[in-house]
Amino acid sequence: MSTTALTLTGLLLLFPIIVSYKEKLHIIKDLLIATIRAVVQLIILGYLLHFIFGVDKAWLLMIFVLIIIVNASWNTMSRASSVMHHVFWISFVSIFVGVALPLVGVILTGAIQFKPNEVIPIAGMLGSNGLIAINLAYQNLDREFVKEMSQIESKLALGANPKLSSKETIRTSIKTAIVPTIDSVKTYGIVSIPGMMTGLIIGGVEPLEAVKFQLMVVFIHTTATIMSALIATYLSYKQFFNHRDQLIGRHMNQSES
Amino acid sequence: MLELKNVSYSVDNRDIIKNISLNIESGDTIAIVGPSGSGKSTLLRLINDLISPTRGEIYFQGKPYAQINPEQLRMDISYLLQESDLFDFTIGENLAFPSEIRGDQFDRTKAKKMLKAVGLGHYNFKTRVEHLSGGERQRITIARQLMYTPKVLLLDEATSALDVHNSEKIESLIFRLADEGVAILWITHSNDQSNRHFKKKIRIVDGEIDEEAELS
Repeated sequence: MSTTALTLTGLLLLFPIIVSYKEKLHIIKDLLIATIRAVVQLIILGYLLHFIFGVDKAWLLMIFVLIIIVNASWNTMSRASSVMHHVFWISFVSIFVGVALPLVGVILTGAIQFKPNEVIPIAGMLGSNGLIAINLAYQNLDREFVKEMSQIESKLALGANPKLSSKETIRTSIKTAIVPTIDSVKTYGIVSIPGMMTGLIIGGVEPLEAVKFQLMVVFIHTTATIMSALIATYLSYKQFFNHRDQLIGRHMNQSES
Repeated sequence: MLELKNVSYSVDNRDIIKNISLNIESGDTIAIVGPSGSGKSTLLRLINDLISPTRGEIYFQGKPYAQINPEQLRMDISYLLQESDLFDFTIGENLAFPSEIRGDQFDRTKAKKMLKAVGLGHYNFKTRVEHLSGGERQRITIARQLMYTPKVLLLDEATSALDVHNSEKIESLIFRLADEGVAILWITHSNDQSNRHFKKKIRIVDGEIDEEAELS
């Protein structure tokens, strides 16, 4: 692909920019930053992957996976409620488990080999799914705990502890976080054409082998998404309560009386 | 039994409750009246420990709140919020919630009795809550609140959606509890209600006790 062709394709972005401007969506800045970041990050990644695939050292590979997890965690911070503390660490633990467990699983079962060209794409995909799921969970927690507190307070007022009072909220948050993943899995092959499988077939791998690989990816990424959202939500919900098990949002929003 | 000592609550430098002192004994029945926005619900929130005073201290059975487990406190001082609604899907799930909190077996006989007491005996535990009327929902929240008898009961406009007949039914149910020694604090707008059964009336204006009157 020529750079000119790519640049021309990039001009397509003018369309959302114009729409955003006309409709006052206020996403131009976000969109530009995201685009520039994608360009810079991918250029760096391209050369980095080339280097790592060439060196093939276990410790280097592990550091790379860790960097993916740290970056994913970092990118959840702005979505969390202002009430929450230690967002980075909560996300880090959640994404770490969501990435590491399935990864160890597929390596131990021999589904993939502990090699950069197999581990890195999968780690990246698991990390990014975890990141999206956690962001959705955080947004939902914020909405429920800060803006719709009556239900939770009604339960607290009956003597329920924070866990029982927020059971519904926790459920909704986890569900909200994983529904997009389930939806995308449902439409595999009809709407979304999995890039990894297509790439393998283009690269000359037998179709059935490519399908098996893709299915494994579906299994682990669904698991990773659910685990990340589950852990992040359970580690977060208590932060919406203070030491007297009162909703912190109530102290911030007390406008009615 | 319950004592508020110079309790104030302020948010963003705005005083919502100003220096309220109050003594509540077992069996007391107190009507809380006052214009809307005067701080009545905030006062009940403070007493239920859903928020803590910014100044002053509240004592229950001689102990400051800070020394009592918040869940235990809220079981003893039960509060039915104005905005309280039904949970989950069925009437049974709602009535079973208080026992779920305590880890007890669901007392179906008591639940049936409560449902009858609020005039909804024709429904069963499997009845789904989504099609119930506002008044029926309100009566089930009351039944749910009374599945366990508290020591202090805080009510906030608890009969606002009910007609005269049903509201009298609920009142007599609640004032029977007062005869058994439960202290009742009830925010009410209806003047009728505040005079009919209550021993005491407190008028709150701008977060302060404006008037305190013995009724009987």
